Amino acid sequence: MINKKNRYYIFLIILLISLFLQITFFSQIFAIGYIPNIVLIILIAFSVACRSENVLYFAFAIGMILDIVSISYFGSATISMVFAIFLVLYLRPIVLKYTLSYYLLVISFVGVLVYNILYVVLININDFYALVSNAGEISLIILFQIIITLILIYPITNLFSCKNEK
Amino acid sequence: MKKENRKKNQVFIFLVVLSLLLIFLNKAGYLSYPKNYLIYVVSSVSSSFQSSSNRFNDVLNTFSQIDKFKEENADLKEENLNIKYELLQLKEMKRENELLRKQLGFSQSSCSVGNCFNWVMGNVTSRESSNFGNSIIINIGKRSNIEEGFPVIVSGGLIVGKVVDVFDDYSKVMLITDSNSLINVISQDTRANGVVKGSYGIGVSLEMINQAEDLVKGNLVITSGLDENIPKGFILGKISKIEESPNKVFKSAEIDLFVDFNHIEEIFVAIK
Repeated sequence: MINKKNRYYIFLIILLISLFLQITFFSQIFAIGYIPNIVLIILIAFSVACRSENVLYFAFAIGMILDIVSISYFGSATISMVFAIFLVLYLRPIVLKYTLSYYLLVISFVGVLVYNILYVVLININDFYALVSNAGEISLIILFQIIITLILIYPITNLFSCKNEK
Repeated sequence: MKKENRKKNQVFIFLVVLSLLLIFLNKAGYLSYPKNYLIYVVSSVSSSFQSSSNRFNDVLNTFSQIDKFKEENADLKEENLNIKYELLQLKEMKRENELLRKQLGFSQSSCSVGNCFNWVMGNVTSRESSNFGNSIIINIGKRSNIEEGFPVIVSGGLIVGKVVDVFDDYSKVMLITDSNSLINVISQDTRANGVVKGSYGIGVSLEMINQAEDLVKGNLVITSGLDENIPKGFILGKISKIEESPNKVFKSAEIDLFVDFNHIEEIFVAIK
């Protein structure tokens, strides 16, 4: 359990370390197409655990940094990240009513799917033919991202558990 | 609850509008200074992470490939002998060439097709982490006279990409495996001309080869020199599989790249 006062500082440190690990360590160790998007998983986990709209600001900042270090269209990662986290925050109270045990998996699934689909569409906005012709490869990559998220989301969410939050 | 939802929606709309505004400003060129500063900060920190990652990667590689190293060593010894013999022959040919040039009055030049190049060495500081693009950031930029479009190679004359964005001290390099990368190439032996296209970071394919042109499995694929700023002769890989069909306009082929893109640490940029 993390103290509410220091929650955001610890979350920010974890997020920054994960970001740098992702753009260096993970991108080198894992084959292209199978790099876990650890920053997205952490953002989703924090959104679900602590239900704070302030996470949207973190999503925006992380998206900006990812856009700056990539050669894809500027803004693709930012918009995709903000949309995905907003959807997670929006779905959280709705899904929580019905499937208490599996709400985490459902929300994570939706968050990762939306992020990846939106990102792929935005970076290929000038070349939909390439998007369509590589749909098979793209689907496999997205499927891998979903699977790795569903495996990692539970322990990471527990790390951020916030007391008295509903 | 309603108040919370309203606040959430307001923050979301504000951030989307801000993102669109920043995209517009970026397109208009007003974000170059902030981007320059941010990339400096991010790359300065990521360099330390990258060096640790390189060391870890080396250790991992060493342990996993000990048996492969033994086999490679034996193959390399044999290849070395063959190369030494070829080098001797090439030296003789060079002497003969120089003599003939002298006799015909040609002026000597170390430049290729009127383009002269210097080389600037750099290091990789970070990599693109999305699974849909393939790029790296290197620690040399405008201050080292780097410009957009300059080719980037690793030792051995193996081309890995080209510079697509330049800042004061850093540059972004689009690797040849990126799906937006297109390089004009030729097959070294048969001189068949085609285009190498990247495929979402996974590999490359050789496309748009005329049906009348020959392709041989195992032939080296090199840059043709037809791309602006990319001189002739940089090696990409060798042809591993040829795909041809009389019903198609062009042939295509798969290429085994010689560079392991996960292990690029030092690079060289060709400067005109």
